[in-house]
Amino acid sequence: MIQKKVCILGATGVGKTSLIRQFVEGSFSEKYLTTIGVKIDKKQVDVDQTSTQLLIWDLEGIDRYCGFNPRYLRGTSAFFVVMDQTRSQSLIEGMEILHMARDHTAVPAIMIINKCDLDSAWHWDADSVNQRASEFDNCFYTSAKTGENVEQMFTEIARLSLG
Amino acid sequence: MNSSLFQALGIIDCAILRYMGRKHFEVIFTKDEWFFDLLPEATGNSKFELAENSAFLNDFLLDAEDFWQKHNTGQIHSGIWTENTANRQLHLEAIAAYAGGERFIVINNMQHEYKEQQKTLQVARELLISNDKIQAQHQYLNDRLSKVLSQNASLLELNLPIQQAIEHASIGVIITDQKFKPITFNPASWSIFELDPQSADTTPLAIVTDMFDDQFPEIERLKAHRSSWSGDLYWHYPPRYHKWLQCEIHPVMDEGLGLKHWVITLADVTRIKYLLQTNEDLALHDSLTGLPNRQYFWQTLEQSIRAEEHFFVMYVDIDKFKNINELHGHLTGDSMLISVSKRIKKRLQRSDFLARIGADEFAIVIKPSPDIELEPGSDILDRVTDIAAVLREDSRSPHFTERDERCNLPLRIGIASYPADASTTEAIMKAADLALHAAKLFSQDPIQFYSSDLKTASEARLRLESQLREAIAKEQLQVYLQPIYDLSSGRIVKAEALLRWFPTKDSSIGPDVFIPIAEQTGLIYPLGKWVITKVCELLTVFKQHNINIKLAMNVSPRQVSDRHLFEFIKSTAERLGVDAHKLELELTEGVLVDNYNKAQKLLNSLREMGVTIAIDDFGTGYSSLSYLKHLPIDHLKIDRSLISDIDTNEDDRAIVLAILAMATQLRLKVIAEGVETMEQQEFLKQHRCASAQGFYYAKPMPLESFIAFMK
Repeated sequence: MIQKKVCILGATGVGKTSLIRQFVEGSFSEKYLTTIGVKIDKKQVDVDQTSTQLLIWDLEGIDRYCGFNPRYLRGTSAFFVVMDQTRSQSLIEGMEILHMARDHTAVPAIMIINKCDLDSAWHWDADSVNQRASEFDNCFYTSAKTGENVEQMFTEIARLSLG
Repeated sequence: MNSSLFQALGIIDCAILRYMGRKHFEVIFTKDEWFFDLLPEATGNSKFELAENSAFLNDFLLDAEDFWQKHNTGQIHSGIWTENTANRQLHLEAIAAYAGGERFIVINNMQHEYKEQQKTLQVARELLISNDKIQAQHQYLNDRLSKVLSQNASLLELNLPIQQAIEHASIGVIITDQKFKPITFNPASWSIFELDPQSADTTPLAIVTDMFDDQFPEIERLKAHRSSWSGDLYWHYPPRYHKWLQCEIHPVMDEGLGLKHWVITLADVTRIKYLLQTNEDLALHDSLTGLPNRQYFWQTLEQSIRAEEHFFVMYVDIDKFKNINELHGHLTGDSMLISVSKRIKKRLQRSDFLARIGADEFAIVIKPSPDIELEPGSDILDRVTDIAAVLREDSRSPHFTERDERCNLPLRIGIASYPADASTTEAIMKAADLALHAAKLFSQDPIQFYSSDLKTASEARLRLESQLREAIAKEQLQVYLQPIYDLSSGRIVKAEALLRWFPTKDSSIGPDVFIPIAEQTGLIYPLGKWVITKVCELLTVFKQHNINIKLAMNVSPRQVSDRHLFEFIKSTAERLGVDAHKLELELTEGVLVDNYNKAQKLLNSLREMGVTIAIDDFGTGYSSLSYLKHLPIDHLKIDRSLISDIDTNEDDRAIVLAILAMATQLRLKVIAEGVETMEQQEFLKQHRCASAQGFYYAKPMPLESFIAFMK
């Protein structure tokens, strides 16, 4: 079976770990628990009758306490940048993270706008989101809580990682 | 190796593997079962080949092999990772080490460290997220309100979505007139203070004003200078209520930069403060730099005053730090703040107290200390002066981002002394703040000590600022014209438009006084637009009088950063039917170096339109000349300070000759400023300087005189 490494990046508290948990275990917890370091999960995805095992590298949220470590992107076939639609600052930080990652890799990138089960911040500017989405290979509005588009985002990254 | 030795050494929860080459290892030490859960291939064998059970470890091995190849001493760490094995969840860290000519991988079980780290970061990150949300609300409301209020004649004209946003906002919003008299309160501003608007005997604004008087004495200066502020205030209403409020205050200006309103936003951050109190370290320290925070600083100041100690307060500000966030992003901005704080700390002694008291502001309390030996004959004041000079000097060296981009973060410093300058906490902070404000105003003198003269000067400057505002609004300034001569033909080929201000019939204020004030207060925008319009109008008058010359005008650094500048020049020229080829813009070197990208865009657009560009005051400030090659520049104007002593000073002469030679090579024409004697003119002519202006030919004059002069 083909094995592909993919990374999930984003600011603190946007729901990276919850998205993986929903995808791998089908569960969700309301309690926010910060990730330290790296955690790797595996799950098989079928794309066009090709079975691919995704090695999903869940990276600690990038913020003032944890800088961006490009070493973890080595060998990745594609990556997600996750943003939280209830917090507009996570959009700005997500774009900064994309640009930092782009200094090290040209592999496909997917924009994830998470927590779409909640009301978007009333200052969340849809136009600027759409404009920024054009810098990615694809964009999904997801909810780790309801599972909306979670399966789809991982299937899409598997497809993109197969080239 | 003897496992009891490892245990005796306290190395008890790790696995040590000797590297045998290409994924082959020998187990030197391991105690717990977790290791075999992680790498089952090692079970029962002291020597084993690393399989694919741990993707992270396999990946780290690439770094380890690279490290072993390049180094024969030291170690590298993988950072913590989490591994789910069949029996348990592990939190581990790997170390690649080189010791005694052999290569090792040590895998540490970090269960305990992980939990500790998670506990601390959990609180810190919850705070970060809560803060983010509040900040975003403040910013959004303030941005939208400023935009709408600056355009609308009255609050009644606020459009419905904005009105609804204010009404339903979870943060308190207060809008006042220019004199801080309340105009409107939203429901949240009342509920924050547990007030019923129908029956309350006070208002949210009255409470905020009282809190400011007690807790933020700098407010009066901020109001006088129409500056913004954000910070935390504590509201205590015994016995029932006590809350921490995050407050932001922003002035709203109209298009002519007259003050129209103040917008105050308030958010209840008591929960955040409570979270902070669960961790004493976070409560009194700034989470970014690890330095004491404003609250801790305030406490230290109060203690020092109670102890009646003699001390100095140094208020340190990073010049134009906002640009760093805008240019490089907030993550880089944060790392630059850490870098600045480390640099400052390195220069201080243990007895000095350094705190971060604002976004880009630091404060230092410096006291005499028996631990610090002073030079013979010197005292604490000398030490304070030395520290300020060293900090300033250090700040001239650039900081570098992770991408190796250069960031210049010069410091400005205001200093006040207790008890000489003030006798209370509030007063000493006001004094240091006033000194810092002076340091920000005088670019030549970035370190300022508080003095009563400074206070008087500050008041005088405020009066001047207000006069200038009025003069601009009433168009009381005048444009004078100074001819520029072609040195080979002796003909006038151009004129420079120069601003003059005569507040009364018999008095004048020089542009060297009012232009910096206009720059610092933002008045330069309406003033600059007025000058552009005036210059275009003058060109139409020239046309009527058959005066066929170019007209040059100066553009200030702040104008260049205005993204609407080009559009304004273009539309004004078109509206008044002015041929763009008759316009010339003069910029200083500093603008090009500090604001290269914006200047490049502007200059290229202007060139396309037909406007020519001259570099003003050339030869005085910067040595970075690479911009001359890359930007569409037509003329260099040699600064008057180099021309004035050209007859007597060999150095000045050498510089002028070098500029002329360089300009020839770069095909740029040179204009000499401040020519006052025939000798200076002859020297310049002899060395093929193209043009000159100065009192030798004519002083700047009003339009009517200029027209007569031309005829």
